[in-house]
Amino acid sequence: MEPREQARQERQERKAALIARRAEVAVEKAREKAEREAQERAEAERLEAERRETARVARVAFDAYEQVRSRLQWMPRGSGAVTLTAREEETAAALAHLWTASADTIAQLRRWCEPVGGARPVDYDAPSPELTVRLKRDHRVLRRQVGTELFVPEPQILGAFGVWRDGDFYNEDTIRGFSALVALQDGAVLDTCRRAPARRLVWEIGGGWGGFAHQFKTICPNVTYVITGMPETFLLSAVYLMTLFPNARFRFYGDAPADELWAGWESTDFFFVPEGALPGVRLPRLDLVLDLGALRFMDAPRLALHVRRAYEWGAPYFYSLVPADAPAQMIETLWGGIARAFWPHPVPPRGENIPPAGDQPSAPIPGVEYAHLIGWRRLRA
Amino acid sequence: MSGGPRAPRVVFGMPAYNRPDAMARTLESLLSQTFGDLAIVIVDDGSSPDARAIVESYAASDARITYEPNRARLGMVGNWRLAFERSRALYPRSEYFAWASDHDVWHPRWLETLVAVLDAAPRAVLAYPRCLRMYPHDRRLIHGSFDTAGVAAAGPRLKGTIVELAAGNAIYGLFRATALAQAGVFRPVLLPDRQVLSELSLLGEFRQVPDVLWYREASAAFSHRRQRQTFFQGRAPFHTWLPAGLQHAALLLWDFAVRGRGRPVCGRLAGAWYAAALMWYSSARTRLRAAT
Repeated sequence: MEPREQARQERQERKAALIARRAEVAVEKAREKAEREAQERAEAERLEAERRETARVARVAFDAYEQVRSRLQWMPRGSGAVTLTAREEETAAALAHLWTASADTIAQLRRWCEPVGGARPVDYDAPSPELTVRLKRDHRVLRRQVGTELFVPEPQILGAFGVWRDGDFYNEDTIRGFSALVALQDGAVLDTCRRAPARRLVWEIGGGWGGFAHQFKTICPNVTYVITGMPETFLLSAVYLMTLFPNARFRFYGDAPADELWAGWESTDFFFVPEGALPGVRLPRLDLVLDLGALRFMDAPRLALHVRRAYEWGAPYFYSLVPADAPAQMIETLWGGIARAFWPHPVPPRGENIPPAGDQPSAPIPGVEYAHLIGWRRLRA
Repeated sequence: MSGGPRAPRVVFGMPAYNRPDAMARTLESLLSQTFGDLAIVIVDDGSSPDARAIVESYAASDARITYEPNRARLGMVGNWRLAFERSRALYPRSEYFAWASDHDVWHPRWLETLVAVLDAAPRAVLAYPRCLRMYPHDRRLIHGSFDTAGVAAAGPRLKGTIVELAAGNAIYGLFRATALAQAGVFRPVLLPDRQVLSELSLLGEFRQVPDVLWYREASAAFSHRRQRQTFFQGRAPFHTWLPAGLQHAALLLWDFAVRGRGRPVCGRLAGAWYAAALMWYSSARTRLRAAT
């Protein structure tokens, strides 16, 4: 081949290669663009689905709210004939706005739970390093020591807040419930509700905003869960639980004449009874009493009434939780009150570097946030 | 001797000795068992009128309690043995036996859980739970576990029992009564609980359940001297000054190799071999404890 012809051929080849390369790049760019658009579409669809789901849950919650409110309307505010303590009065006042709540308020229900001992949502808008470290430590220690079986994460609905760690979403309330479930397991009580073939009946005093009821019912589905307390708190707990367990069956004191309320209790998941009605209530059976901190705010006669009712209804176990740094006298009064009818058995603390016990009462142990008591029914009370 | 028509499946033998402060709590924990087919035989080795009044007040309303004060003090080892013997004499057809102290606490589910374990595992001779220790102001979980479920060979079971088992906790477990009788009950040696558990390990498996079902009162620190003082009425036998492993090996040799008491599960020759092994494992345990 002549040199000129060869040079021309080479030029043509280079040109062809360039054109092919440009075409490849164009195809690549088009593919990337299509992918990007698909991702954007998927993200938009995800956000839209999330928005729709949030709106759906909010509608469910508001429907539940309206239903709960109408069933509570006749109940006296506060605890009826019962005299509330100053702190409980404050709680009732702080929740009073829920009687006339809007759909938007209910859509953010979880953020109104602080007055009943719930975590403060504002703490989680930008969690402090101290809070994050503490939560992470408590979560890690319990998971390491007992596994994940008893951990129920914070449901991401109704304005939930918390931190994400190790794939779990949680806050102080979640950890408190986790630690209570672990204490119940350490006290060999949880399995009486969890693994029993027959339906069990559990009574939570106060009930808070329903967070522990959700955790307990998730771990022990075959229980009927009775909550007693102020009707104002039912606006939180009942609505929250109805939203989370849409297929569950709920009954309220007053839905039926008192002597018929408990008929077919095994097929009901949650009962709500105002504290003022306690003296006239007769539970068909009782397998476990739970106090996640409500009793410590009550005066002595109300504490005694709750313990007496638990005993009369045949409860074999009485669980009580208090913050480990609560005043010693408060713990003594509370646990002393329970001990009148139930042999008191404090649950050993869990944590890292638990010091050996001595002859003297030990100081609060760093990293141990709660003290747990399980009372065993006395034969003679 | 009775034990005719009504033979409870489980008998608690309680060797009591003057703990009126804790007796009511302990008795209620036993009487509150969710598995109620039980009897409680209390042999009292020198109780105060207070303790006796407490027991009698419960016995008056619960026929499952039998109370027998000793005429003369027997010491701890003798009283433990008597608790078993009286339980067997009163209820010879009962399947399971457990010693109960007069001051520790049994979770209401203790019996229900352990009976289910022994019912389901015919080769098991002992079932016991995890436990926690009760201090005057605190409680602590006792960590560590020991279980020989599925260990068919007697040698490894014996080794584990001697080297790893916390005998002071396991001795308060639920025993298959016939196996316990075969192993021999509380002989006048040091560490009598370890001795009986060693022989028992040759006869079957030990099963530990993960639930914390027994609450043990913290006691004074362990020492051979304290055992010599409290375990025997009067002077401790001369042989208790010998190494505990030697005492246990000699008993095993006598029981299994000479008397053939381990048969048919464990023959005479095997008994002699295990007696030598027991001696060896005991010295290994002593060395291990000294090193740690």
